[in-house]
Amino acid sequence: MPLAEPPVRVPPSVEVTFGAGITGAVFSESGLLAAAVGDGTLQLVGLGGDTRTVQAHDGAVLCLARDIDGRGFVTGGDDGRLVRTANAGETTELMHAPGRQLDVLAVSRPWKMLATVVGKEVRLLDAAGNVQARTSAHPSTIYGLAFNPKGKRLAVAHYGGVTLWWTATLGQTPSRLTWRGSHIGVSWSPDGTHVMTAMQECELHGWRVADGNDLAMRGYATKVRSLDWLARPPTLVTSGADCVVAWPFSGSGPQGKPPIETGQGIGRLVTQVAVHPLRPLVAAGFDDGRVAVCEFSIDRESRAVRLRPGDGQRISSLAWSQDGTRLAAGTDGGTLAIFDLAVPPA
Amino acid sequence: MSATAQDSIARSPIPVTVLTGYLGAGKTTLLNRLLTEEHGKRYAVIVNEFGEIGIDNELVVDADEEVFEMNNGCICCTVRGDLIRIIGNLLKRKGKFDAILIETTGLADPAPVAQTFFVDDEVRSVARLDSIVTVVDAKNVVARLDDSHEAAEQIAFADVILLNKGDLVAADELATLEARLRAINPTAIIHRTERCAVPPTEILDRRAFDLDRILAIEPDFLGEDAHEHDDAVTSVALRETRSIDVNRFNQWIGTLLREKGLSILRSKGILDLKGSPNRFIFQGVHMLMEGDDGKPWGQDEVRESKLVFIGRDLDADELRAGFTACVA
Repeated sequence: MPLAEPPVRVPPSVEVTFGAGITGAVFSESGLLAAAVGDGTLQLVGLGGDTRTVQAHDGAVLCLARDIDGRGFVTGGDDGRLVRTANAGETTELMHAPGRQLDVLAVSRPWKMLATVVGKEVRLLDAAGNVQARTSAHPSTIYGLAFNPKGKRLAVAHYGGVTLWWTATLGQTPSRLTWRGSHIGVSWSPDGTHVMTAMQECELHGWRVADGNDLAMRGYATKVRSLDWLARPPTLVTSGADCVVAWPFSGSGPQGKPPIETGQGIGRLVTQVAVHPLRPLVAAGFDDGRVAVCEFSIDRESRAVRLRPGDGQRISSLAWSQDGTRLAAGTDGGTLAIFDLAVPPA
Repeated sequence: MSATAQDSIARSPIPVTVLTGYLGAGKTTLLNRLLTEEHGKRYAVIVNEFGEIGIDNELVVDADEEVFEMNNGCICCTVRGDLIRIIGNLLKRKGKFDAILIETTGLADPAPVAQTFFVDDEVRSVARLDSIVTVVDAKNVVARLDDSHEAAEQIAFADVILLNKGDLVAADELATLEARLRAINPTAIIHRTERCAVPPTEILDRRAFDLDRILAIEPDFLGEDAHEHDDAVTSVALRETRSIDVNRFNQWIGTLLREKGLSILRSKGILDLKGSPNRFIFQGVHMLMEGDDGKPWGQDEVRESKLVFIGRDLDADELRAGFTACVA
């Protein structure tokens, strides 16, 4: 990784612009990149930069995830459709809810299920795309879904808190984690001990699942639209401030500790974060199109490598390949940049 | 923060028109008229789940009309959570809309819709509230005003009122009705219509919430006899020819909206502040208020300050005394 000296700038290996903003990006296990676009297409970019355009939706693609098999992709769109796209590009409609925007999706590889939302209802689909279970027992429409690491539990974020279901018995015996306000996103800690939400009020809320104890993190400049976890030591990494803000969950948890900050000095709002799959690094995307890879270091000053200069377009998605050698960044202006970080710059 | 959020968006905010009115008043008729008469324009239409009549448009999104309290200590600060999400998603689509039209359910309180555009920075960066249009059924509105809160609130919030189905009532009845609407809302533009026939330019792109478009407030108090109906929602207009002290005014209006913001539905004002060459313009929805300098006073122009409050159980004498105490 070319992280030795801060001024090193790695030129993108690929940078292309599509007809609408990039709304999501994810790599398959084999390294195929899928970028979701506001014109309804899914752009499949191979290792050599070859791109295949798949017209997955009519309207914008609103959510994107790697499929249960790890090879293909699943998307939801504002045409109300849930669509599976295989790695070769063929599409299958899994579901259609006319007049609805399908913008929430979660996939569990270990449990071999995917979950999506129509209004207040969660639907659980198996690998074949059949609806296995559904429930509307939520107090409001649903804003976020997350399976726990093993896939046994499903967290559902809505107004007033989070409902936890056992995936095997969706619709029966919910646990309610309550906190007043609108919870707009949800995430499990990698060890499955905590459920964290982003809130309408520009703060994070969370619960220790074992006893329901609350946590709250405040002081963000905007809503936290992007959050990710460093597995060891367990650390929650977030957007929403003028640097990457990370909360250490080791030991007694984050209460009463200051957050770790990295990527300072750029002076722009962090809109996206993505934690490197293998190393203690985080990619940060800024609201002016800048991208940097930042080091996590509690003991010494964190260093950052700037990968992309600002072009006035907000970074709307960031994704690492699973081997950590490539980073994809999408902007809301439709530009997709792919950085090859395996090869040191000449 | 909101400044940095805004300057990365190159396009200008999309105007949003909100259509309110009781079930059967003619909202859907108006909506379909706007959609068919304005050829060549692209609209996104957000309807409520109970809308039963077909909307003739390429893009129609169902909304759940979820009103949420903001967890910010302000008890009347409610927003439409579903709108924040739907508008954010709509703006991800390829190409540009000319406008977004929101049809609310008959019983909807317009305040949470309006407040969404005041408090949510993400929404503010991509969309702006253009105006609130209320369709009133001339035949049934009297009964609605007598038996419900919502009818008066929808009239109070309106920038434009369509007094529809005017052909079904007698002319003098219509005049009395208009006077009653005026007593509730003296600043709205009232159009008498049949089957919502009104030029789209009277409804769309009004910029009713732009501070720099509030050039004059001329409360139109037709027919004082309207007060005999004693509607709970009324309006108070204040005028002052002496210039106003900015600090006293800020303190007064701040306290007033904090304490009475639940019952004050809308407020608007143009002020002559002592020492300022410019008009100061402000507007508010319940406790939320925004204000800014407007254009300079002309050399020969008569400087004066005007305020209008629309709300429930307003005490005109108390408001007048409070405002008079702000004189520099």
